[in-house]
Amino acid sequence: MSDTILKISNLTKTYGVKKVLDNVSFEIKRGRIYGFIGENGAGKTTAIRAITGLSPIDHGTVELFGKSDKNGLTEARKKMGCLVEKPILALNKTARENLLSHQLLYGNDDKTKIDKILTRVGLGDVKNKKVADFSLGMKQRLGIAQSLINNPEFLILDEPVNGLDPMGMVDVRELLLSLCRDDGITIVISSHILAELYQLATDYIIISHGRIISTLSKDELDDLCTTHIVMETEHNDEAYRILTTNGLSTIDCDNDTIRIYDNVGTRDVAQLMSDNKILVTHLAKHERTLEEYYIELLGRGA
Amino acid sequence: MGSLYKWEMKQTLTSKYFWILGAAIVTLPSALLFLTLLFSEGMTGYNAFLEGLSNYNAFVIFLIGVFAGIHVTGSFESRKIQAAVMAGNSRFKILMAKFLSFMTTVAIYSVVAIALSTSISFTMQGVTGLDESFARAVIARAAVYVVVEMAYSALSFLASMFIRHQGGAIGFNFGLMLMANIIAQLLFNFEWAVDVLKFTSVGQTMLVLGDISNSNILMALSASVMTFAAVVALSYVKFRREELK
Repeated sequence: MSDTILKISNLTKTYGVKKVLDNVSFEIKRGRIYGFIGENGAGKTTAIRAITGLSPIDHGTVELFGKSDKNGLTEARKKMGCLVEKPILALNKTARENLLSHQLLYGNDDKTKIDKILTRVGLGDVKNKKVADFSLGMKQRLGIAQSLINNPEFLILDEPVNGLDPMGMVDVRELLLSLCRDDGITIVISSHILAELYQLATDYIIISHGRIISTLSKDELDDLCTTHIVMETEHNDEAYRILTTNGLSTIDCDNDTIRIYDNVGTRDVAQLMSDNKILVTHLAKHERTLEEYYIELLGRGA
Repeated sequence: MGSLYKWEMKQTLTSKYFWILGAAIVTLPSALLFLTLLFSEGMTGYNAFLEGLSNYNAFVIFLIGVFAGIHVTGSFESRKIQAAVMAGNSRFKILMAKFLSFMTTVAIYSVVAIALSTSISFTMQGVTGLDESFARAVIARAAVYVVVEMAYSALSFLASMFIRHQGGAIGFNFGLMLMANIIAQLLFNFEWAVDVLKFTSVGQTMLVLGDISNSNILMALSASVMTFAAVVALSYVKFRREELK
């Protein structure tokens, strides 16, 4: 089984004279959760629409489960679940009827798993309620349920937490984490809610003005976001002396706080202070958030 | 393909518009025929049957365009077609399922409407005025008429594939069906034009009423098949690389 589920190579899409995607390339590896980040109009939805077959591409290739020809791609999409822009629901039907109908699109009319899926997304109690009476959050969850109807190996969710209240976001996050962890489903999520993505994703793809400007894992992001260590001790002067004598050179020290800009972990610093019997009253990594990193990156990209 | 067709038919049969338009297209031609027969004298059962077919055609002009507009553009506007694409179905299969469900609906409407008006005709006026066998004059003619009406209705399917706005498609379909019918009627005054019209479905909706010879049955069925093929081919050309919003 290949480790790469989706491979996008030099994808280009133009609307009129506007190039919406410009030589976009990235890969999606099995078993991970990708956050797809970009400003409005960056090209996220266009890329997703190209992957899902809604939008023909001008140049480049989309390779899904190793298939890149027209028929192979169409067939490969059967192993993919999608929620693009908003759930496609019949409001005059119940949640259960919506899923039964959606199931037919995959050539399946097995009614037994409908209830399981509805229970899994937290809609088991309202399965016979008309969708017109659903809240926005319930509709989003039903959209996710639709995307799971074919037991997908790969999920693409465009703004799945849009309009959800904080509890709804937590529920969806837990559900997606469980789908990846327990069912091995690879997930791509586009969202503007970066704090939410930070808690969910294992990897990030950042797109701006139709170009991929960064792809990185969460560990890499954490490294990039760690800017310095802040420490407070009962004897800052002594602590400063110990740090410098142990090879750390980029340090600011004032009466209250020591800031260490060297590439060193908090554990190492804590150990050093402990060895020298200095009481540490505060020790923390000062990190940029994903949002701050993203804004800075975009500032550079612009 | 089978499950896509089932999906389309399930949606169609559970929609309000299918039943409302169906009720109108089935009952109105027969109601009009019933009123005509109440106030006319000396009309034979056979002539009443032909009147019933003509009435049905008139209501097809008015109502099938509405059905096509809702059935086709509605599926794009509610993003059901998009769901079918994302589910890994080929665009050709999606188009064929949509077309076949449309044709099935028109066939259901036509069979029920014509069966009802035919029953009224021969019940009220008796089985009179036949110059050929009942099987040929009535049953074969009604069957061929259903097929040519389906082909004629396919024009509104094609127009709806090109016009993505539901109201616009309904309006355009009505104009298209009406104009095609009017032009065909006017051209029937010219002998040379009849030779052309017999190759068209709209022409055959009129010719079948008078000519149910084997050669015209063959011509009517051929014209219908060609219309179906042309509608599917042109619709596919439009749909195959269409941007789906």
